[in-house]
Formats: sequence, structure tokens, C-alpha cells
Amino acid sequence: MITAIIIDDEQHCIDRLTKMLARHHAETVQLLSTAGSVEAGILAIKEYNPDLIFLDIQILDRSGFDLLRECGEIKFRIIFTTAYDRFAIQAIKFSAIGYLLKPIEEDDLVDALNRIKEISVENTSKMAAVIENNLSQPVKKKKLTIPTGNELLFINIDSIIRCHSDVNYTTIYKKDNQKIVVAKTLKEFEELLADQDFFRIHNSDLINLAYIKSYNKGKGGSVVLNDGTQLEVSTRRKEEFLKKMAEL
Amino acid sequence: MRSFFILLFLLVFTCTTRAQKSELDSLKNELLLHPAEDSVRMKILYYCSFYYYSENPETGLKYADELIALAKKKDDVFYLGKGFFCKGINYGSAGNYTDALAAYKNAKLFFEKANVEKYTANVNNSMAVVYQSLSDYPRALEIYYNNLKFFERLKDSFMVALTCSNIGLVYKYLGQYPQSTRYHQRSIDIQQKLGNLKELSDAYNNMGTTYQEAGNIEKSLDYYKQALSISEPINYSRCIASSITNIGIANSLLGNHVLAYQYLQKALPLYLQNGNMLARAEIQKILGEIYLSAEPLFFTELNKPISKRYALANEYFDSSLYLYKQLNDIAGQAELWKQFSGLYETKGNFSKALSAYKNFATLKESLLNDEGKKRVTQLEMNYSFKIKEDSILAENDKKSMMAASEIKRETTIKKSIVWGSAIVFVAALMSFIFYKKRRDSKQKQQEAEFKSKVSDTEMKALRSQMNPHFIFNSLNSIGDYIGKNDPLSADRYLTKFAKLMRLILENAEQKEVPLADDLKALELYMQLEALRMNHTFTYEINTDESIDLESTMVPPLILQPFVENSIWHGFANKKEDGKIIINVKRDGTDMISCTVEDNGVGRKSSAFAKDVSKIKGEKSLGVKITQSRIDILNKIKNSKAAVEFFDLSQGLRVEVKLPLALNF
Repeated sequence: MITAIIIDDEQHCIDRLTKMLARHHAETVQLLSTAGSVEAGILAIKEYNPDLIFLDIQILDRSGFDLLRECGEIKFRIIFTTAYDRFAIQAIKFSAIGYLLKPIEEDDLVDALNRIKEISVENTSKMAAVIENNLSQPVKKKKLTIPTGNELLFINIDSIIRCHSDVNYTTIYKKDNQKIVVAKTLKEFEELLADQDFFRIHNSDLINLAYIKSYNKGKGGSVVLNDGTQLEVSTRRKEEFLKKMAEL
Repeated sequence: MRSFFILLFLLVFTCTTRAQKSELDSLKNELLLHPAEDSVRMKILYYCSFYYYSENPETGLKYADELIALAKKKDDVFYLGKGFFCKGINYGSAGNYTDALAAYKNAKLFFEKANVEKYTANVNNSMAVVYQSLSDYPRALEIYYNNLKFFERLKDSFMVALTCSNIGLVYKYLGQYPQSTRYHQRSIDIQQKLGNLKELSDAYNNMGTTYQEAGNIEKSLDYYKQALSISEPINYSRCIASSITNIGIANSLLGNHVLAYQYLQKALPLYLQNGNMLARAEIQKILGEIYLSAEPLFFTELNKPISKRYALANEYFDSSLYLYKQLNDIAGQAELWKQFSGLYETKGNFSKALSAYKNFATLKESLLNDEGKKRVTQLEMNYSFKIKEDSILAENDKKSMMAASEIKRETTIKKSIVWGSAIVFVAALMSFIFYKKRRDSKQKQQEAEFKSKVSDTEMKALRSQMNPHFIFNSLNSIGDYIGKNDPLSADRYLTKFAKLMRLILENAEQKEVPLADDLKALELYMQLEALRMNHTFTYEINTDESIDLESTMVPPLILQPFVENSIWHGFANKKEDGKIIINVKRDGTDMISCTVEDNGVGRKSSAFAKDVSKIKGEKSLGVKITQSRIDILNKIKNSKAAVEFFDLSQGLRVEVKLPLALNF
């Protein structure tokens, strides 16, 4: 049995989630309390010490991130809930913390609750640290949580040289010659890193533009990266690639 | 209610009033009398072009071109500048802002070379007016501020005052009223000191409009009255007319209908004299509005039968509409049709009210398109601003080199015939360069227009995807489930609906999306509709194995209108067993073919024919939008995308052929 708290400033959102939990998850989730503000949320966490909090992002004029920052040691797991907030969702994606889009769909709630079981409280606090880091640090110093087979890795984005796709897996090549295999598609990484000066030069290669050593002209051409790898640029991507390079 | 005021976007040449026909005729005569290609002819050409900008910009442009050609020949940099300046004014008057700015930039180059700083400042002023027309107020302000500094340096207080007025007007548009009044006050103070009564009365009027916009009608009335009291003794007719009009408008805003009526009636004949149709149209519209909304006392005081209220209003609206039509003023016409619609509605004539409202909606639509066009032009200008500036600088270097060599040649031309032929060669070269430049600017304009068409269509496509009909029907279904006490179905429907909206919003920002994403949205849409229709139809999506769904890109929701047609019209009378089959497959090496097939009533059926008026409108809209999206696609990609309809024995098949676009 997981004990939980819902923190959301809109009562109808709380009501809806409460009902969904009672209807289908009464045997796995026990709802201890709900809170309508960041301050009330912090108090409730201290009082009930829950295993899980459902945390809204925009809470009155403050944010769920504020709550994480102020609630002291994180001894619980988190599922964010939000309606439509690009910036926040992007920040959450980097941390790999689970999130639900409102209005919440039953299937999504089941998925999120299943995923929670695999994440330790300790890792949750590290994931929250990624969010905190990314919100306070400049773009280039951002971090990324990468779930691998049995552990979570927290890496600096600027240490990634390139990502290579292998059907449903992606291999990340880092500056320190480390290779990480992740069970995510390259498309997911492409979307995640689109604003971070990463560029997909080919169906199977996403590269960090900061690590380009040289570009050889040709039909599509090819790039040589700092670690010596030479990669082909797809003809269809050439134009956009050169444009992006010129912008840097 | 649009407020009326005198625009002070003056140039030093102080000629904002429309040139009279007779003036133009005499100028044309003079031009005929002066065929000699000398400076006198240049001067006349200049005035011709300048005066024509309000009458007929096309003719004005012709004169400007002739002036430029002549000035080239004479190597008169000053008149070259004036020629381009005229070109700019005429382009601006015709609403062709891109070319106007280009011409002004050229004018600036030549004026700078001729070392006439004051004229450069004037060109700057005119450019600011263009930016203002494009609603690019920050840039207009920047230019005015620079000019202000320049005129302050010259200690030209008259121009300082005019520039302050312009700044005041821009701040008014920006809604920054305290700033606006500050600058107008400065203008008033200066003109008072200089004793320029004409300009002073204009400045009072401007100040009044700012207060009016800011909602301080009482104070604006004071300023209008002051303007009137100054302009009347000196017989400054233009300002007398606008002061009286403004007083009328302010009174009508205050609800003093009798006073408003009297002032506006007094203003009308004044505008008849100077031929200002816009003002007359505007005033008659307001008079109509006064008749519509005035209290009974108004009619007794003016000794008019209140029973004729609507007839009188109608009369004014009619003549106002006539004038707006003459002026080709779409916004004005739209506004009036809205008034007509309200008028008919109160009279209980609903069919007439509806048709008036339809006119209003159509005009408003075209107005929105124009706005979009304007915005695109502005964006395009912002985008290429830097590039253009760079290329102009480069050209400037080139031009000054040419000019230097030409001057040398002129000194030797008398001595040698060989040199003469060289000059002819250079002239030919120059005219070629100019021809090329003109061609280029035309091309640029076409490009801008094309771009605006693209964005316009995209906007419309988005609107049709988020078909309000569909949105409200979905909300209705949800409400229905709630009413039937079936919260679970309501919930299921709601979350799917939210998901689809999210997808549509995200995809709509993209020009192209992966086929997989687009099919997901389409499937969600069909799921929702199936739920709503109690599963009276089923669907099937088949994709060919040769297509990589992730890397094949398609324009978002290009098939949706056809699926919608199948559901809404094809299955309209079908109670069960409806079927939609979507097939996506490769077509040759460089195309993909997407088909939407249904077993509904098809296009020819009697049911269709019976309800044809209703169906036709909606059907053709979706198809029209898709068709124009495809046309644009073909233009951009030089491809052969197409939509084709095939009537089946039962149902309809629509085939959309798109160029195969791979992301990698």
C-alpha cells in the first residue's frame, strides 16, 4: 500500500484525482490528505510523511518546484500533474520524474503508478535536484536523468558528444569515453535536446554541435567530431544543418 | 467610434491637403510646355509626382520614374533623391510598404550624397509614417526621436514642434497617454511662442484626441474648443472642420445627443467643400447612430417625429455606406453592415438582419486577411532588415565610385567624341542596373505576398481543424453523458478530447509532422466521433510497409476534413455499419498516396442532393482549404500533389497524393 497526498490549488482537480484513486486504486493507494497551497502542502508532508505526492506545478502564484525546494529532505516519490505548461513539462522531462497531463486519463494514471514502484526515494531526491539545478543554472550547465537497466544516471548535458540509435535503444557517447545504452528511442532524445544545440544529422545520429571538429563537403557531407568519429550527414538534413551551424 | 483628427505627419513640403484637379491640370500643361530636359522640367516632374500621390499613385510613380531617369542623365544627385522620395510617397499611398521603404532608403542615400541633411530628416519622417502604418510603433518612435535630436541641433523649433506632435500621436496609439500629452504640450508651447496659429490649432486638436482616447472627454472638449477659437478668426478651414467634428464626436460620447447632432450637421457641408469623403462617411455614420440611440427628448427638441427614428438612421447609414464604397474602405463598410444588422433586428426584419450580418462577416474576414498580410510584410521586413541594410551599404560604395568616375568623364566629354560614346555605354549600363533593381524589388514583393498567402492558409487550416462545430459537439456529448448519469463515459470522452486538442495544438505549430503522429491524431478524432455516434461506424487505418511512419513527414491533419465529411455527410442518414478505411501507401518513387474511403451516401445520392445547399457550403470550405494548402506545397516543393474524388457504387473515395518527404 502506497500512502499519498495531493497538492493542487484547484479543488475540482483534487476531487477528480481522489475519485479516480478510490475507484480503481483503492487497494494500492491510500490517500492521506490534500492541500491547496505550497505552505499547506509542506505542512501536510511533515505531518503525514507520505510515500508519494501528486504535485501540481502552478499552485496559486507559486510552483510545485518551490515546494520541493522548501520542504527539506525529500523522503517521498513524486508525480507531477499539469494542464499545459511547456516550460515546466520540459523541465520535468529532463529529470525523468513522472508526470500526468490534466485532465488525467485512467491509462496514464496506471502507467505512472506502476513506474513509481521502480523508483527509490533516494533517486527521487536526486531527480528533484536535477530540476533544481536546471532551473537555476544557465542553459549550458543543464543536467539530464538517464534511466538505464538497473540504475539512474545523472549526467551533464554538455558532456554528451553524440547519441546513436539502434532501433528502440539509444547509445549515448560521453566525453569521458563512457557509453550508456538506454531503452529509449533517439526521437525522444531529439525532442528533449532540441533546444540544447543538438542536431539530428541522420536517421541514426544525434550530435552535440559543440563537439564538431570539422565538416567535409559532399553530397550531404560528413562531420568529424572531437573524439575522432566521422559521421555522415543526410542529404535532406544538410541545408538545415548548415543553417544551424551558421547560427552558432 | 473612430475619433477624427488631423494627422500632422507633415513633410517640409507641407502639402497634405489634396491637390485640386485644376492644380494638377496646370502642372501637366506646364510639363507639356517644357519638353527641354533641364532643371525646370525636373522641378515640374517632381511636383507632378508629389501631387499625384493622393489622387493616383500609379501616375505619380510614372512621373517619379521619369524624374529619376532625367536626374540620372543630368547626374543631379539632389533630384535623384527627390525622385526616389516621390516614389516612396506614391508606393506608401498605394499601400505597398515594402517598396516604399526601399525607395526611401535610396532617397536617403542620394540626399546624403547631396549633403542636404534636412531632406534626409524628411525622408526619415516619411519612413516613420510607413512603420506607423505597419503598426511598428517602436521603430517609428526611434526615427522620430533621432529627428527630434537633429532638429534641436539645428535649432529649428518649427520642425521640433511638428516632430513632437508626431511622437505624441505614436504614444497615443501605444496607449501611453501621459507621454502623449507631454509631447503635445511641448508642441503647443513652441507653436504659441512662434505665433504659428495654424499649427497651434492643429496641436490643440491632437491633444484633444489623446484626452478623448484616454477617456477624459471633458478635457478633450476644452482642447477642441480652443482649436476652434483659434482657427476660426484666421479662416483655417481644414482645422475648423475637424474641430467642429471632434466637438460633435466628444458630445455624442458624453451622451449630449442634441449638441452632437448640431455640431456634426455643421461639419458636413465643410467637408463637402474640400471633398473629404472619408470624413463625410464617418460623420453620417455617427449621425445614424445618434438617431438609433437618442432619447425621446432629442426628437422633441429637434422637432423630428420619433416614429421616423429608424428611417432617418437608415438614410444616414445608406449614404455613409455609399461613400465608404466609393472610398473602397472595407473596415468602414463592415462597420456599417453591422449597424444595419442591428437596425433590422430591432425593426424585427430578421432575414434582412441576417443578410446584413453576413455582409459584415465576409468583409471582416477579408479585413483579417489584410491584417495578416500587413503583419507578414512587417515580419518579413524585420527579418531581412539587416540583410537589406548591408547590401545597400555595399551598393552605396559601388555607387559613389561610379559617380566619381562619371564626373571625370563629364569634364572630358566636350573634348572627345570617344568619351561620349563611353558615357552612352555607362548610361545603358545604369539603366540596366535600374531595370534589374526594379525587377528584383518586384520579385521581392511577390515573395512577400506569397509568404503572406502561406501564413494565411495555415491560419485557416488551423481554424478548420479546430472546427468549432466539432468542439461544441464534443462538449455537448460530454454534457449529454453527464445528464444521463454516465460519468464514466463522460470522463473517457473528455480525456480523449483533451488529448486530441493537445495534439492538434502541438502539431499545428509544425509545417510538417511525422506520419505516425498525424495518424495518431486522426485516429483519436475518429475514436471520439465513433463514441459520439454510438459506434455506428468503424474505422480502419492501413499503412504500407514500405513507408517509415516516423521519418515520413506530412502536413498536419491534411486528411481530417475528408474524414469529417464522411462522418458528417456520408453517414448522416446511416444508422449502422458505417465504415471508414484509410490507406497510406507509396505511389511510385517520390509520392505517397493517402485515401479516405467510406460506404456512406456518396456525392450523387438523393439525400445529398436534397440537402445540397447545406452540405455544399461546408464541404467546399474544407476542400478549398486543403486544396490551397496543397497548391502552396506544390509551389514550395515544385511537386505534383493533388486531391481526387472517386464515386463508388456505395460511398466515396478521396485520394490525396503528396510528395514523399523524408526527414532524413
